[in-house]
Amino acid sequence: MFDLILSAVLTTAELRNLEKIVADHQGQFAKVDSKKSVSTNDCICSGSCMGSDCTGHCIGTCKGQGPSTSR
Amino acid sequence: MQELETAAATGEKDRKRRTVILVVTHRCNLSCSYCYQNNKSDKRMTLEQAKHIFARMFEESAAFGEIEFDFLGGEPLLEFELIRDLCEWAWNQSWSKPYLFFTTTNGTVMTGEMKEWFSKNKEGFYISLSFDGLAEAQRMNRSNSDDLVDLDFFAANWPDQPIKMTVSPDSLPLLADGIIFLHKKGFKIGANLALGIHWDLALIGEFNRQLDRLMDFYLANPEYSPATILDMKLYGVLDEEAGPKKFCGTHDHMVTIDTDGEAYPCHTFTPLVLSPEQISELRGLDLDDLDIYHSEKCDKCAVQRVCPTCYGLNFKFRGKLSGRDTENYCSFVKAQVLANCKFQARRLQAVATSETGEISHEDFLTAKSILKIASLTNP
Repeated sequence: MFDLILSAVLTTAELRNLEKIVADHQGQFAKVDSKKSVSTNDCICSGSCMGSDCTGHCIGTCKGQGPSTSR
Repeated sequence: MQELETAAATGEKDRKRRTVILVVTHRCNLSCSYCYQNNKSDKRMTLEQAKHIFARMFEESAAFGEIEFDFLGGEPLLEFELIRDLCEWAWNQSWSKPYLFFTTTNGTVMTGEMKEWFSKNKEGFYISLSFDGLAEAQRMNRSNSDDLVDLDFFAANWPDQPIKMTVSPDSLPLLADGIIFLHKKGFKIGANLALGIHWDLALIGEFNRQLDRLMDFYLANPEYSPATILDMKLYGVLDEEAGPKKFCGTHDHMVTIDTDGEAYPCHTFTPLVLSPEQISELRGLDLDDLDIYHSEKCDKCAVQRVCPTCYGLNFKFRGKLSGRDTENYCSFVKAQVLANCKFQARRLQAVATSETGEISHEDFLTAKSILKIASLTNP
């Protein structure tokens, strides 16, 4: 079994950088309606299906990449 | 937790599109190495059935704002005349809500006549091409069909519709080159490891090498939108809401209608995929009960919320909707998560130190997600 250990791929410095990004923007995003900021609204697969072996339709239609309506 | 209600898990209130998959044929002209449709036959949908189903779906979709009709097979374009006739019939009358047509095709039976019709109607009909990257990968995975597909036609007509690239153990060493090749042809890319086949743990090293190569490519060429294999929505891990959640829209926003008019939760539950005994067992399940999708084995996994799983294939191969492949495929998902964390951390660092330094809300959530995974996994 492969172990999920993040320190195997990220250095302490890289983690510190991420902490800084979060700290620097905490206030900016504290009250953001993230539904509007991260658009997965039209995705039938809840925005998380990337990588599963589905038909490909959700890949195209989520994130507003694909069509929205038709005639 | 409002943030997550947001970004990753999303949706109950905002989902509005119903996806209706019409299985128009059980025939396919290819025999792909990873295909999970083991029960192909000559069954096909008639035009009258298709019209009836189309009209019925408007009556049965009151909770939805619009409908997406997906033609699926087998190879759906073997039934091009049915598809064309249904669309033209539909477009010539009024319906109670917006709708669109979509199909996923292997592209190998596309004739000049079909190209002309699809090009003319591309505003209302969207196509996703399944193609596995380099010609060599397409040959080994998909019945030597590389020279039967006009890639440029699809890239030119539906530039925003990602190509669907499936990776098999055989084509794994060509993963990065295949994705780079398709990007340079003008495609966005949805790439995934094939499900329902054996993934030998000895291939993890090669998988990591391929993802590292891809990572280097995207960091050096930020103008390309990363393929889904390196674009996991990691912020799903911020979801701390207790209880089981479904990973996809099966039985919820999706319904599949088979050639004979029978309805199934999605295409992976149809007789093309499952045996009659399995379908009979499926009919006895309460698909509204979220517990049947839930695997206790995965409860302690830090990335359960973002782990791709297919309930239909779980049921087919392991007898339970919740029966994830925790032996082998699981390890590849973990390797993919680590690669995504590594890639996103480096990408975010580049963004943060760029001239604008503009961090989006998605970037912010991604940074938080990686830190959370770190806190849960580091020894």
